[in-house]
Amino acid sequence: MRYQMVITGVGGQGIIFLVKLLSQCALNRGLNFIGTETHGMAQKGGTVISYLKIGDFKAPLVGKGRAELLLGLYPTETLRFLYYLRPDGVIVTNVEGEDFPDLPFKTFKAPASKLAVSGEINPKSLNVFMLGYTMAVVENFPFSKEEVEEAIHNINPRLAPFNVEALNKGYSFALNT
Amino acid sequence: MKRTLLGNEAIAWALLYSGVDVMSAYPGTPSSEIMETYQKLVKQMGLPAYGQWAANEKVAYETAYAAAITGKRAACGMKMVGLNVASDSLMSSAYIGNKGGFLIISADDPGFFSSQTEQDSRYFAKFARIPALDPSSPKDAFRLTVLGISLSEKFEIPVLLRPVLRVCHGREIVEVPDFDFKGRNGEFERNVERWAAVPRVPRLKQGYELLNKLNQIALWNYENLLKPQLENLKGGKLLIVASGTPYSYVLEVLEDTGLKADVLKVDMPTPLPINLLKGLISSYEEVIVFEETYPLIEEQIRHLGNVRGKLTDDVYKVDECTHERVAETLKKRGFLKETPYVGYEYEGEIPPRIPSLCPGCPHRTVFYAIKRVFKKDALYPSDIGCYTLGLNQGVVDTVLCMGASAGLSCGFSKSLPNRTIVATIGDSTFLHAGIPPLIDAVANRHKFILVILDNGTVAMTGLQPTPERVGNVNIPKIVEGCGVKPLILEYDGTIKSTVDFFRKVKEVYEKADGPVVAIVNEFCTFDKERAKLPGKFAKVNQEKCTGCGHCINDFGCPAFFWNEEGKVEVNPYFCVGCGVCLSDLCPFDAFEEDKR
Repeated sequence: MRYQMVITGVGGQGIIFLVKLLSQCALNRGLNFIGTETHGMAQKGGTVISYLKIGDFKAPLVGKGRAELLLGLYPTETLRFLYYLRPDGVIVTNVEGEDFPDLPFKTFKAPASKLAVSGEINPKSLNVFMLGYTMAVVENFPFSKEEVEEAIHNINPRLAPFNVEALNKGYSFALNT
Repeated sequence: MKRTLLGNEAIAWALLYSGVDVMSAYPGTPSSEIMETYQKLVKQMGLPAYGQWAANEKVAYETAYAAAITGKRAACGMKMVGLNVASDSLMSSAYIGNKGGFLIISADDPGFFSSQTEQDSRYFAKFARIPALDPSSPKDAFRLTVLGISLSEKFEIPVLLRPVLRVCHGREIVEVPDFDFKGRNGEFERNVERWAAVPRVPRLKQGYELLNKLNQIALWNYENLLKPQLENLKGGKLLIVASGTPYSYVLEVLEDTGLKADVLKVDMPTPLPINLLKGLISSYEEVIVFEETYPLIEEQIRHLGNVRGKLTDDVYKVDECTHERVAETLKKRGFLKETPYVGYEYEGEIPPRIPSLCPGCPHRTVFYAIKRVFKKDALYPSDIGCYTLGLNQGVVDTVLCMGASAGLSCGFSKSLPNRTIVATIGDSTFLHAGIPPLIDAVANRHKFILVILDNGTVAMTGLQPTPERVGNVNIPKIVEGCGVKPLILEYDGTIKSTVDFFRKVKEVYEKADGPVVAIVNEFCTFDKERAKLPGKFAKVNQEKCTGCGHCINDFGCPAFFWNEEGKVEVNPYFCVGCGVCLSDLCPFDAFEEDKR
């Protein structure tokens, strides 16, 4: 198993939580994991990007043109980092409105910000919602929903019900649209 | 047990695994999580160990070093610019040495992600004549932390661990072996010749001893870290010498491209056993050195053979190491026909996302009020912290280093006697390095306004507690003790009272013949204990908005944006309900409450 993935968004959306979650999945499965995250000043409303490499990798960053999946929690940031994708890579992105451009990649779009503002999902769980959505649409995603749920419990048992619910909301949103 | 750890967490685990029972640090990205994790683990596991945030890096250094003098194992943590502050202690302690293992952890930031320099801490180690260790990943950081503590104790010398951003904030699955933690009892053996060595004779003796130690450590480096790798080297055309994260990138680039080359990993870039490396380096047709950030290894071995790197313009010189940069060099030197790292670039326009103060941050209101009262003609020195981002509002003219808002203001007041000077500094930065320049300002009658933005936390680096928070240190009393009675505002989330306060400050300043200090008691919106956000969300009445841009240019909440009609809107996803914009911001009163 070798899978490289980039997650982007803006500060405060909880991208680091997703990295923790997926690295925990790798640990539970006995796979290697290496990646790197944005902390500190860059976080302040700025662009946030995390790199996740599952399997036998050694370096923290993903090379240009090497990622299988680009998960964008904010549309402008998705567009900013297209260059990490392999030609056959997949985009999963949060969109605001209809104006997300056509791109030469397989693209799955979810209006997560809108759902957060209208109260259909908790804004704090937009990250996990998008992960659930991703898992439903991306065929070769490295982990199953059960594995992610287990990792959610490993990382924070207290908030687990809240996060599992968001994961399932994202998952069923994908299946119903 | 295997754990998924941030590099900083791996370092903290390794410190405890090594029996380090005293740690002191000052927060600074990318180093802060080392102490956070150390304290958390000590508490969770109930270990007989002590971890503290210090007032600044020099104090952090000395607190930990004292423990190492008494035979305890100790570590201090900081970002690389913090090592500048601690360097006075570093230089002298290198000569004196330590009893218990003592590790200096200085985290570097190649690429200027959250720092004002990309200085290479390894040079400080070379300068001070102590060993430096350069981990290539979180897993490697665990290994080298353990090694560093034992090396320090063996040779009774401080050892520097230099993790870079991608190690500190890298995440990897790391094996942490089970361990029994035993603290040590400190003992101070009076030895004036050593601990109180004075110039000239005792220090001269230490000077010779230090060089002798350094030679022994260079040999140790060869025997234990370099020699075991030699049998894997096949010799011939290309040798890549790499340390730190560049080593990881080199391995992946070789794998991705299928290029065959020998690779020598340098764990300890200084001291290097130069003479013992001569045969190896000269036996290759070409040697390329990849390291971060400056050419420390390259400078030491360049005369040994055909050595290529930053000094020969073959390797990138500024910014962090990436796959692309390694491949680029290998292509340039003719070892690769093409680079596999090519991606699709979006051709449309993407508005840049400049870092900005968080929605609801009181700093924004304060900067807005300062600008309204002191206008654009005033000079605005500022400092290191979130509030540096006041530059988006046109109220930050200089940023130098910790505490320099006050220090520069001393000089500006004499060079620009007719300019109003309004300096801004955070509470933690003031306590770290802002007090001596304030004393200087009082003593020498430097006339400027020092605004202390006091949110009672080190917000920028992740809400570490300040001396005020842990020990009731009182900033107004410190200021008063320096010789100025401060003006104080309890921030209430309205533009009106903030502007009124600065009008009063201006009146005082006009009559003053020395520094005026204004303290604003604020909160960080992420501070669960103190944040006051009233839940008054905002929207813009589109009929009232004229598109004048005042709110975006002078206030600049990240939730505001221009719509296609050239008017302002509030993105409800970013609005945190601080309510500040609802009154006294818009000249046309276009902000209205968005009842949710």
